[in-house]
Amino acid sequence: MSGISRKKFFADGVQDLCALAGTAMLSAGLVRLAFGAESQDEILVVLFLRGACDGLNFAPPVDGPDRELYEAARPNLRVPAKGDKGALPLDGRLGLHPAAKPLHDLFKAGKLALVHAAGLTSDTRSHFDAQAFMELGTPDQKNTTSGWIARHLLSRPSAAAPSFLTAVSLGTLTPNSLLGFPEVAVINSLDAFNVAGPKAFQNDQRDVLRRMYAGGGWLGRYGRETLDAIDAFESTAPGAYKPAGRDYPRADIGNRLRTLAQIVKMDLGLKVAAVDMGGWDTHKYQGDGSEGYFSNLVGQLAQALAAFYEDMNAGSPRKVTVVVMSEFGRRLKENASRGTDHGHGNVMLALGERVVGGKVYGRWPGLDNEHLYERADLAVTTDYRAVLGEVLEKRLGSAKTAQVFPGFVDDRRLGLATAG
Amino acid sequence: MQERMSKKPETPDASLSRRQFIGAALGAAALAKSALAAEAAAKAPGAAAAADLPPLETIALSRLAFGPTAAELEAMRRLGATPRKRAGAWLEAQLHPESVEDKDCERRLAAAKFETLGKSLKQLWADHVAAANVMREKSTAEQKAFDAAMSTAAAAMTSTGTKTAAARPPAADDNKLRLQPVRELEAAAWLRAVYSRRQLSEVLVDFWHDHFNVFGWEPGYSPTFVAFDRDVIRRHALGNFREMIEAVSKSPAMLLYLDNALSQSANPNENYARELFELHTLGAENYLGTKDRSEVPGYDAGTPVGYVDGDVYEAARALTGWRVANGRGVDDTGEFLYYEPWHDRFQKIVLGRPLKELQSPMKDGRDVLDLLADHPGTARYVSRKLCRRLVGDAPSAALVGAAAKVFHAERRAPDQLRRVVRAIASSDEFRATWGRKMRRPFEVAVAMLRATGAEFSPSDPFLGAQSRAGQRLFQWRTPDGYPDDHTRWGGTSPTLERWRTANLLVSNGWDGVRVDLLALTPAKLKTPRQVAGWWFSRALGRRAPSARVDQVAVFLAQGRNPDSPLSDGMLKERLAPAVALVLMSPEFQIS
Repeated sequence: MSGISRKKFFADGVQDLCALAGTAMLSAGLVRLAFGAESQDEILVVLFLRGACDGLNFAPPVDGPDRELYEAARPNLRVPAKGDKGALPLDGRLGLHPAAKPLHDLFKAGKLALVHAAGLTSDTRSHFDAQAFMELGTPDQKNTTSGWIARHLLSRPSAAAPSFLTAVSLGTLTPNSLLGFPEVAVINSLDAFNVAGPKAFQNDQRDVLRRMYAGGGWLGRYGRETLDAIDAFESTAPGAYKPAGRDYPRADIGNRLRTLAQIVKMDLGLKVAAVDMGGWDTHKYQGDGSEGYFSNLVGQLAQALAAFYEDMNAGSPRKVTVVVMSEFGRRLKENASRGTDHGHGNVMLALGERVVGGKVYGRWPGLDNEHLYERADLAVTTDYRAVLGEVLEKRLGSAKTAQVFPGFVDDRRLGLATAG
Repeated sequence: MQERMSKKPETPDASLSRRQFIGAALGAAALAKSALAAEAAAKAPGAAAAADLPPLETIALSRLAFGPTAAELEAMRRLGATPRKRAGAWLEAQLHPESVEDKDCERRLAAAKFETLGKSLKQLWADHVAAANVMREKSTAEQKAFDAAMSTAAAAMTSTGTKTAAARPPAADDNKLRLQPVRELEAAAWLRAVYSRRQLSEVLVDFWHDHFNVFGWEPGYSPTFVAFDRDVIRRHALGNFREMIEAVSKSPAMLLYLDNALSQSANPNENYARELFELHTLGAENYLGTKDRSEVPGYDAGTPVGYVDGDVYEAARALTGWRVANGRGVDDTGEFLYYEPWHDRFQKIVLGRPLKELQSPMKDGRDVLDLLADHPGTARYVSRKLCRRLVGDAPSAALVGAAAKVFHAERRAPDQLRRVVRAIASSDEFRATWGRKMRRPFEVAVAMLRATGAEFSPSDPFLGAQSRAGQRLFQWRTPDGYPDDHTRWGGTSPTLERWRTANLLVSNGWDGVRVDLLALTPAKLKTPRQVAGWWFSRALGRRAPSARVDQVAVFLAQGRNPDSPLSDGMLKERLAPAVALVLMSPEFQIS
C-alpha cells in the first residue's frame, strides 16, 4: 500500500462494494458500515446572509405604535401588515415576509424560531469588519487567528484527530468562521469531482499527488484535503440525486443546500457546515414590501431551507440544526433610491427538530427614536453569540462555549432549543 | 485564429533553440544557489518544500508577471551581467509598458476581431445600453399587442371553432447586446495576461480591478465597464493615485455599481462614500467605528488618525449630484454628469476639515478626494495591499512603511504609483523571499497556458471552469474584490479545479486551447528523469527539488528504470499527464 493512503484504499473498497451493489452512487448504508456506525452527532449548519439582510422587512412589525413608525419610515418599501401580499402572522406584534411562506409553515409546525433585534454589538457599519468580527467570534478584533466554528470543533473531547469532512464550506472560499481548523473541505459542487483527463492516468496521478503533497505547511494541507475529497466524492452522481422532500429552488442557495444534503447523507462524519448566500446589500430598488428583488431573495432562501429541512427529516432522518445570520440589519428609514443603508440589529433564525420553534425570541427594543441605535437603526438586545452559544451547548453538547467565544459572559438562555 | 494557427506553428517558445533554453535554465539554477547562500535565513512559512530561493529573474517573472516563459527568461539574459542588473533592467522596461515591444499580443487581439473594445464611453452607451433599451421596449410592446390580439382571437375562436397558428414574438435578447462588451473585455484580458510582454502592466491592472472592484456583468451598466477598464484602470495603473480616485469616482461603472448615481441631497445614498473610505483609500484599518468625531484624536486639528461614520455621511453629502447622464431628465449619453439640483450645498465637515457652503461645482467632492489621497493612512493601506500582491501575504512592517513613505512623498507626482511599485519590486524583501503567496485561480491558469506554450483563445467551457474555480474575471459581486491571501483560496473545489485545468489543458480538452507538448520536448532528452527535469525547469523557471523530479520520472517510467531511455511510444502516451503533474505540483502553485 506504499504511497496510497489508508483512506483511499478504504474508499476504493467501499466503491467496490457499491459497484457490487450495482450502483455508481456511494450507498449511505454501506459507507456507514465501513466507517463505523457511531450514532450520528447533530450537524450544525450556519447559513450566512452576506451583505446585511434587511431584517425589518424580513420580519416587520405588524401592529401597534412600531407599525406606524415603520410605515412612516418606509413609505415605498413597507411590507403590508395583512392581506394577500401582506406579512404572515408570527406573534401578533411581528410578521414574516410573505415570500417566506415555506418558513412560516415551519414556524407554525414549531420547527422554526426567530430571534429579533439580535446581532453584533460592535459599533461598526462596515460589512467586512462586521463579518470578520462575527465569524472570528471576537467582536472588535479581527486579528484573531481562528474562527468560532474552528474553536468549537477543536474544543470537542473527541477532537484528537479532526477527520476529513468534519467541516465543510459550501462555496469557493474558506470563511473566517473556519479559520484555523486543520481540515476544511470547501466544496462548490460535486459535479465531475475528479482530476479530469484520461481515466487510465487518473489513479496514477493521484498517487503521485499524494506524494507531492505529503509535506507540511498549508500547501500540503490543501492538497491532501482535496485528494481526500476526491476519494470520497469521485463516484457521486449529483445529477441523479433525489431529495427526500420538495425540490430545491434553482438558485445558488438551492444548489448549495442540495449539495450539502448529499454530503450529509453520505455519513462521512460531518459536524459543521458553513453556507453562504450573497446579494443582500440592498442599497437601491429592493422592491416594494411584497415583490421585487428582496422578495425574490427571501423566496429562494425560504424554499431552499424548507427543501433542506424536508430532505433531512424524511426517509432516514439526519439530526441537523440550521442557524441563519447576517452581519447587521438595515436602516429603519428607507433611502431615496428605494433601498436601505447599513443598520444594526437584525433577525436570526434557528431551524430543526429540536428547536423550540413557533416563537419569536429576544427583547424587541421598539422603533421610537430613543430606542433606536444611534437614533437610526434597530438596536441589538440579544448578542448573536448568545444564540450560537445556546445551540452549541444544547444541540452539539458543547461544554466549552467560553473558549468558542472568549470574553463573552452571558448566563441567560433564550430556551430556543432543547438539550439531548 | 484558425488561419493563423494552420500557417504558423511558431510560438515564441518554439522560435528559441532548445539548447539555449536548457542553458538558460541551468545557469539560472546555479544563480539560485548563490542567492540562497546570501539569504540562507529566508524562510517560507507554509511552503517549506520550496524554501530555496529561485533566481531573481524567476522571482520577478513569477510575481511581476504571470509566470516565466522560456522566451522571457532568454530575453532577460541579454539585459545585463548579473541577476540584479537583468531583473532591474527588465523591471524598468516593464514600468514603462509603452516601451515594450508587444506585436504578438497585438496581432492576437486584432485577430480576435473584437467589436466593442475601441468604442468610446458614449458609443458604448448608445450601442449597448440605449439601443438595448429600445430593443426591449419594442419587444415588450409587440408581445403586449400580440397577447391582446390573441385574447380577442381566443374569444372569437370559441364562437367560431377556428384555430390560429400565430406565434408569440420572442422576447428581445437585449442582454446579449448589453453583455457583449464585457465578454470581449474578458477575452482580451485573458489574451493579454497570457501573451502580452507588458506583463507587469497586466498584473497591476488585475490588482487595481480588485482594489476598485466593480461587478462587470450587471446588464444595466455592464457596457460602461469597458470604458472603466480602459480609461480608468489601465490609464492610471502606473499614474497618480489622486487622479485615479477621481477618475473612478466619475466613472459610470462605479457610479452605478455603488449607487452614487442615485444619491441626492434630500437623502444621500451612502454606499459609495463608505467604500471610498473603507476600501479605496483609508481602508478598514483606519476605521474607528460609529463613535463621535470629537473622540477621534487629531480631529479638531484637521489631522484625524482615522475616520468614523460621521465622515462617511458627510462625504456622501459632498458627493451628491455626481451622477450619470442616463436620459432621466438629462441627456442620455452615459457620461458622467455633475447635476447641481441634486447636490447638497450646505456646509460639511469631513476628516476635521470644514467644507464651506455653496462651493463651486464639484469642489465639495474634490475636497474629499484631496483629503483622502493626502492622508498618511491611505498611503499605508494602499501600499500594504500592493506589497501583499507583489511580495507575499504578510509583508513586513518595514517594507510597507518604505512603500508608504514613497506613496506619501510622491503624492503629487504624475507617476506616483510607478514609483511605489518600483520601490516594492526593488526591495530586499522582494529579492529574498519566496513561497509566501499562492497563485489565485486566474493566475495559475494563465501560468499554465504560458508554461505549455498554448495556442489559446478563451472558450465558454474554459471560462466555465474558471467560474467553478471561483475567480471568473469581473464577477466578484461585493466591492472588496477577490481575496488576495492563500487562506481564502486553498479550498477543495478551487484546488481540484486547478488540477482539472492542468489535465484538460495538456489533453487538449477545450475548444480554443491547443498545446503540442511533444514538439516542445527536445529530442535529445532520453530518460524519464531528463524529460521530467526539463519540464519542471521550463514550467518553474528554476530547477525543481530532485524528489519532485523523481516523482514525475517514476510516473513516466511506469515501473521501469527512470534512468533508462524511454521509447517514443511510451513518451507519447504519458508525456501529457506527466506535464500535467508538473503543473499540479506544489511548486507551481506559489510565487
